[in-house]
Amino acid sequence: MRDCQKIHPLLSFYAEGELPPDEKNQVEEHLKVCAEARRELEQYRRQRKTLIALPIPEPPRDLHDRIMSRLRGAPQPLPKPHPWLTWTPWALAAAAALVVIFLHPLTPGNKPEVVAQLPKAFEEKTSTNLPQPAAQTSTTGVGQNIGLNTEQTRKRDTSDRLPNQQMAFAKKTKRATKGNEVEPAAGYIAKDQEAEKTKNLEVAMANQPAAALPPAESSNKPMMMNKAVQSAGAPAADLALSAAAPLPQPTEGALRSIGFSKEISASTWSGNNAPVTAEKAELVTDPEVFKQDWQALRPGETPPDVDFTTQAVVYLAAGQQPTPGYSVHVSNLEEKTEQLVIHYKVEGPAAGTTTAQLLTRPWSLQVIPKPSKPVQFQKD
Amino acid sequence: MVREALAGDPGFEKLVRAYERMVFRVSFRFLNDETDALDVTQEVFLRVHRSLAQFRGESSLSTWIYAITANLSRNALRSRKNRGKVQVLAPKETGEGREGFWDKVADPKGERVTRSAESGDLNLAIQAALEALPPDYREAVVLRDMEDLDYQEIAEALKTEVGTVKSRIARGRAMLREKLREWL
Repeated sequence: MRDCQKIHPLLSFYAEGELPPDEKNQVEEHLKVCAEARRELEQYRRQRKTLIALPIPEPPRDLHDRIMSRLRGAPQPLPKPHPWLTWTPWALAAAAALVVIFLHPLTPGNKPEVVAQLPKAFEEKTSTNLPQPAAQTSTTGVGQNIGLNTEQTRKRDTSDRLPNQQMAFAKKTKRATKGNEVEPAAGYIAKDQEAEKTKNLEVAMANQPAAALPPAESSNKPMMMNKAVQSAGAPAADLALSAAAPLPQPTEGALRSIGFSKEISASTWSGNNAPVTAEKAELVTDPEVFKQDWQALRPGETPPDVDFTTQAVVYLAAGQQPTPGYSVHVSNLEEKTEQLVIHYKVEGPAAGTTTAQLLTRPWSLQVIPKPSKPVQFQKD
Repeated sequence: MVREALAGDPGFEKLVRAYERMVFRVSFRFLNDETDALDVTQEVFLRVHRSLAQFRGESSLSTWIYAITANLSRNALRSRKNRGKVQVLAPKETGEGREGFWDKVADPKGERVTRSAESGDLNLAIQAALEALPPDYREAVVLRDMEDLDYQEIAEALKTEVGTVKSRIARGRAMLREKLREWL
């Protein structure tokens, strides 16, 4: 027994051949008489081989660029935001204003079937220029004229997306607004029913209480419906305003907090450690639920501020994947007459990429303006 | 390389290229979280950049960078409460036709171990078991058994004595063996 206490702590060193001769001899003598020591030694050997052979975690493909950007004091290089991410309610208002102002006189025969619920600020700006009824828009026209609806699929990076993309987001919004001399309007603009069953959210969202709507049409692979859709009576302009908040300049002390800055509430977070192994798509509209989800995804970190009166969070999990390099993200928002379809994608490592065999459970959280229609998820 | 790195951008970028994967790999092993490892990796090179002029060459450059990585990883661990918890392991996969991790690891007799159905979980189990070790033990085990540093290098990287390193390794390995008992 005394020998066991003395010898067993040496077994792992014996297994790797690191003992000096005298201790090595003692261990070998002990192994002859102690079955437990032999078993333990075997386990150490297997453990050592297992650890040595453990797959090497593959870093994000842009690791080098990120490091160099940090060193040079520049914001993180980020993939360009997907076109729909550049959409904001008041950019839409501005775009719609363009259409109203410029297209209306050219299309006198159109009769609006839906009276658009224009934001007040927007109405004030446009009412002096337009005969009543004012809102005579074509969503197709909007999409084409504002040029937001062309590119759709852009490969996204698999690593974390920090809110720097909101810089572009905010700038683009600012440009759109400034160019049209329209105040940032709060809320959504209803679209003309003639204008179509399936247009991207870049166009507009009708501001109708969900309860008044008929059941959602079924679509491919519906995953779940929004459990708490409310009327989007409250404006969603906070999304744009918060996104326009100045991004902290990367100083060494503040760098870590950029991704979770309270000023930037409209954002995306992602990772590879989802607590669920199954695929999941969910719209989070409850602050408490979001808090719980956040704690499960990023334990110990303070949840970011999300204004759930005007925003919601899309929580996606890709399920368990065999290697790093997988990501899950919202790819598009599609508005149908009676529902909003949130398209999402699970993307794997780029072809030809060598990845370690290391199980991952990718997830992403994406803040979106709070939908005013029932929501359906569709995996593309 | 140090002289080149001190001279300016191309040289320092070369240093980054030489060590970035190592730093990410080690910080990932320490933290078991890709996002945190990415943060730490970036911070390590900021620190290297700032402190390179004070590097005296008393240890190798890689050991010095290991030391910074260990230090910043420890800070990252401190900054996130509750992260010491062992992750809930995924349920076993039963997919057929997958060549699993265990299929690639030869046993001591040279035979292939056939536990492919459980292989996927082994990675998670090891990561979780490592994460559950006290940080001091985890660092020593990772640097020895996964990074293959010798005891002296580990002592320099962790700023402690060789005897302490050996003790931590022995205890860490024993704890790991207990946690992975069903797999070994």
